[in-house]
Amino acid sequence: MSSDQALIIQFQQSSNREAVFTELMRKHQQKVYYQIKRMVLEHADADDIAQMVWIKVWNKLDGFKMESEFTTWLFRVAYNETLNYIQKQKKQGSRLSNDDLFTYENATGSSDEPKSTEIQIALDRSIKQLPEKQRIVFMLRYFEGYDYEKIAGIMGTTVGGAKANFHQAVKKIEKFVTAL
Amino acid sequence: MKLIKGNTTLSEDQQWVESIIEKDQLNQFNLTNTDAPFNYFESFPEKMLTRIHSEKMNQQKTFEWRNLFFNNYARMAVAAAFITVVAGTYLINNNIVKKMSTALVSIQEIPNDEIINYINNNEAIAELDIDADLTKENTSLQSFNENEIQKIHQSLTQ
Repeated sequence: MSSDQALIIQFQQSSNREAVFTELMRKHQQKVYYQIKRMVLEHADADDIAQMVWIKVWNKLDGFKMESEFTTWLFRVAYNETLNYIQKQKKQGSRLSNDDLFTYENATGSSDEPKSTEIQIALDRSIKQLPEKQRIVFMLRYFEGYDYEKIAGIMGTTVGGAKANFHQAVKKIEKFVTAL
Repeated sequence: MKLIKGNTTLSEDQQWVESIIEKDQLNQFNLTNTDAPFNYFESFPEKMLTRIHSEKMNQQKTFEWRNLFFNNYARMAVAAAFITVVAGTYLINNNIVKKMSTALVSIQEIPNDEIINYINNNEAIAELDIDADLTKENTSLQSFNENEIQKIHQSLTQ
């Protein structure tokens, strides 16, 4: 598989841009989708945002100057699009995360459930109730295993800011889970 | 539960989280929140290319319309039309004013002799008209009303 840099150069120079772009999409689409899905939870929302992200990438890739890693830029586009989407949803008055959470909780939660399910629900709830920035840092650090430099690059913040967000996120999750 | 501060490695951060919540539960959370419908990723690139095509077509249409209205020829045509309207309005207004002032000036500048001549000439014509009325066949004073008789009398006595 070609490196991102080689693919981008091909895209910028080639007449067969669609084939090159398809290869880039195939390579990164899952990570982009997962990053978005962890933030918005609904597939339909994640699909909409993912499409917007890739259209933006198509439109801007000509001007991409390789000053940063392609994936950092790509995930930053995804992050910004997701935040914009969430903001729009909030303005329209619908809360993306909590409705699904409560449905899931009502369907599974009862006093007879084993402790692990309760913790699972609490974990779900605590992560979903984190502020967006803390949630994304937690996801990127714990599940994706990114270093703080990359996370800061994606979020357009400092390394210190990213670390602080992770720390806050873990403390809030801990508080939520231990309150059970 | 430990609190990690300062420069921490990835594994230290992950261990900190796993000391609060079991790894299995975290994995389960990750699984439930990263699932996608069957075949979604296989069909996604194709779907995206179709959408990019349609976006491109839309952009092209917008571009064509914009070109139609904002190319150099269109701009020149709009400018020419504007100049024509402004110049036309100016010329028409100027002409009317000129005509009016010419008319006013010409009345004021007619010499008195010419005015007197004009009146005298027209008086003769008016007298001729009255004579013609009086000398008409079967004309009688009864066919004139009071005002008309008065006018004729005045003109004859002047």
